[in-house]
Amino acid sequence: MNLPAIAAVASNTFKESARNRILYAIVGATLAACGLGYVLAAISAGDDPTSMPRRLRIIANTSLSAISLLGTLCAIFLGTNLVYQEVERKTVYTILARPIGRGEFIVGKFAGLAAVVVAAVLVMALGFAVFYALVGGIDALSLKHAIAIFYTAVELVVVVAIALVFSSTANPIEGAIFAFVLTLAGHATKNLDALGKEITTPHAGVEPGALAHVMAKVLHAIYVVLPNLENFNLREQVTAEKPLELPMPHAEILAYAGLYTALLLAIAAFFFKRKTL
Amino acid sequence: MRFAKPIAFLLGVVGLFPLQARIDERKPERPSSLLYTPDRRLMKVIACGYGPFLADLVWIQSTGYVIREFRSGGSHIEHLYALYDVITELDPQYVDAYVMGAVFLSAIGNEPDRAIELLEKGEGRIAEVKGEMQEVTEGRVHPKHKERWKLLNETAAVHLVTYAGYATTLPERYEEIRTGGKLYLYAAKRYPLTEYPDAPPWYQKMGEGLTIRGGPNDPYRDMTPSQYYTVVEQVWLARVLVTPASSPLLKLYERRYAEIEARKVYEDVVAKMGRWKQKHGVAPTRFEDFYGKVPEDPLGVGYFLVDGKLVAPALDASVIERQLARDANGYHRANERWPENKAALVALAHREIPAWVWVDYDEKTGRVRAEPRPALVQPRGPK
Amino acid sequence: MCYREADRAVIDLEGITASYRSGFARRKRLVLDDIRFKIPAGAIAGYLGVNGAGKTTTIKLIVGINRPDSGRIAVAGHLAGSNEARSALGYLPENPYFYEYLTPVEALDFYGRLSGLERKDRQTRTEAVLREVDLLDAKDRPVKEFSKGMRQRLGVAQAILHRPKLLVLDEPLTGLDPMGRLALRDIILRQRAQGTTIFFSSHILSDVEAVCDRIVIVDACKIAYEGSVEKLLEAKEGAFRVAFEGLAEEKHALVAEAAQGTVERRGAHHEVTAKDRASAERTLDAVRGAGGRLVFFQPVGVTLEEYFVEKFGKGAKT
Repeated sequence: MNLPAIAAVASNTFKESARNRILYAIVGATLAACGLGYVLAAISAGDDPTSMPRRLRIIANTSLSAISLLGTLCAIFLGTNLVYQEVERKTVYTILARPIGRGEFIVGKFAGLAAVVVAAVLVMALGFAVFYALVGGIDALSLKHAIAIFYTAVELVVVVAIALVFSSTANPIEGAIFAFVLTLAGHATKNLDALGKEITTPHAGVEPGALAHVMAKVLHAIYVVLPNLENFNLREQVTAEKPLELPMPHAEILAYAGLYTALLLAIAAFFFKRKTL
Repeated sequence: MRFAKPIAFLLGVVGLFPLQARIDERKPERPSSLLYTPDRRLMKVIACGYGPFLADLVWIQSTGYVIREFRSGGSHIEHLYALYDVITELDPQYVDAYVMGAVFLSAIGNEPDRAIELLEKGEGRIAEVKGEMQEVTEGRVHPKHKERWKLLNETAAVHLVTYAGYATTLPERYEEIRTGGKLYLYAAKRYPLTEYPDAPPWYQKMGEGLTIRGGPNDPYRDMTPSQYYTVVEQVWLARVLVTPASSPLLKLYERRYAEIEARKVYEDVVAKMGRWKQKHGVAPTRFEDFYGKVPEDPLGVGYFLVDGKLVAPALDASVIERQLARDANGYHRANERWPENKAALVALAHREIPAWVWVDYDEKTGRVRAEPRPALVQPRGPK
Repeated sequence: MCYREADRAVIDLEGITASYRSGFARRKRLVLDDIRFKIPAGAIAGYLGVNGAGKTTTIKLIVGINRPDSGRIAVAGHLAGSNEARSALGYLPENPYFYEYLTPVEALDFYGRLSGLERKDRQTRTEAVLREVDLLDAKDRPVKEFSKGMRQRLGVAQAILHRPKLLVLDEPLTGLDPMGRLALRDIILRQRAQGTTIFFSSHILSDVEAVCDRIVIVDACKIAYEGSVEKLLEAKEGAFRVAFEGLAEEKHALVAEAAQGTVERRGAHHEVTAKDRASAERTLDAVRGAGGRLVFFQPVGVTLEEYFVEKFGKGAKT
């Protein structure tokens, strides 16, 4: 792995992506959403001091969901342009004429954009923290919030990898649609697995047949192979009122993110290597 | 090795399975984040015209959520109102959502006030103005909606079944019954069969029969209140019949139905006791004297004669559990926390817990349970 | 400049076939069919062909951006596309594109990192190449303000940054004004003086003729010629060009007949090409006899342009 070359591509990608106006539009929209959450929290519960938890919940919900949703859009729009633009604008030729592999190029583009997205999340998180503290005081902020936002950033890094796969193979419009659909599936995939469990539980004493078991296995396989983005959804730990009893499997979740991202980058590199430029 | 890369890739994919399994077994299962997104005012904006579709999605999630929460045995289901509030916000014409939400809220969530609140969102508030039931505020559901009568049906059921069930004295109970009857009379006028062919045809008759309960013209005053219980029975029987066998709610509904039976027996015994006392001037001491046998308790715990009064521990326990749960939920809603301990909870309820009812209260989760302790039924005075 | 055949070839193509898929049905279209050629060290080689003949395709294969369907390419003794091969060559694509918001200094730093140069080396080399291509004044201006000529020079700068043994240039002179072309030609010659082998494709045949000592011509998916320029143009040696003035229009026919060629007006005088010495002598006599004055008289071979037009007909352009 030619690390200096990958680092060069990454830092260049960072600078280029940081110029993208869409990035600023989305960060701005997210800050506006946090502000909206603040307004809603402020007007919803009046002056009753015991309503503070409810108000904090409102602003936490609005802000964290906005960061996740808009951050996903940002990752997809910037990501699907990444490789396509280089090929379209022919800036990629002078790069590939140098001793850097196509796979290494992909890794570098990914690293650069992932860094931009994480930086954007940090800015959005700061906005959230400011508004949250305005509602409930500095003390209201806690580790739970940081953890939820951290995992949102991890989720967005995986979404960047998804977008990158389509950036190597499709034009930005197609790519954005495919990436968006796959991301949506990634949030819904757990329901497929639940469906499989549902059809294999006996109902009113009737045992499910062999077909149901086969289907359940297929559904489970689809569930695992699709990117399970709900693994990174810790927002409810922040806003739920019941305290968290079990320790979170942090190591496994991060391992999942790392493994899945590596697989996605391998796919992106595979398609990019086969392309005649 | 030529196939090193593809093999490594396949191994990676295979490796996802055990990893995901470990995450699933250790990550606490929570309802989907959709539940927590909405402030309901924001929901309409986010829905962008796909309100009814989103309403269905939330509905699908909600039913599963309610069952899960119910299974974990609480007397309080968090976010129950919020969920159905969101669904009805996304699709205000979705009558079943109001009804379902109200059923859950009153029957298993121990929040009948919020059940009424939800229903009023749909049909508007029906209140008594100058002796007549009228629509005081406007509801969201279109006035000509063909299923609108279901809302009123459920409102009446909440009064007749749930509120009456909380009542500790007979006059209180009759008050709720009469309110239910008035609602039925209003329904008979508001939802004539000619315009709403699916509405029940018995509104008028039932309304007339129920509004005189406990009043001077009540023909059933001295006899078993069979007509009231018939309605209540019908509600619970209906719920039993439409609930699938696999649903955990079935046991609850069946138990509530058995409770009605138990109450019927109770009222019957009390009535006969009263007549015997009138005849002999003193309260009976044995069931055989006035009832012919020891009455059978459909709830399986038994009836007892104590100091000239009839004691039904199972019935008391059920009622007390629901009352205390309702009071705890109401406190929680107003104060964002649960009552500190059992004593505080009981003080809230303004009632004495008899010796034969054991109350279990978890102040962290607000969960209330009450169980009958027949062995503790003691006569207090001399026999 | 002499070279020995025994020198190891800097570029060595063998049995190269390349095609691409086009159209909705993705039909295969052959671009290069089993071509082979060698470019020896130290040469300046021109790669010619009509539009669409496959020049850029070949160049991309040499540079290692794409892979051929079959065959083998060696660059400086290494397989084309390998890290060693790419480290040994510098590439200037046709109409080079850069990241518009970078300055030349930033861009060259980026390319230097990609080539594995250390920071100090990058800094010194950046300064050196910018001086070489005469962009030192503009080194801190963003590329989006550059003219075409400046971009081309920046492209050369990134190509020579890492001191490659081979320079591969795709249409380096196209679209430049005469000053720009001159500047670029000088850079190329200076590079060759330092020992770099140059391989470039071009349409501007007069420049190729002036600079190259070797050319390769590709036509109809095959190599039509590989060798020196002189050999190619040998055929027409012996012709002479006669330039005269002061003759009335009617007298031109006499001159044309003597030379057995057409009289053409060239600015203030007229020229005619006589195909051999004998007809050249007759032409001179005709001019003097008709009362005209000689402007110049020179032997001439066919130009590359004329060869091209003759060989490849309407496809060739200036």
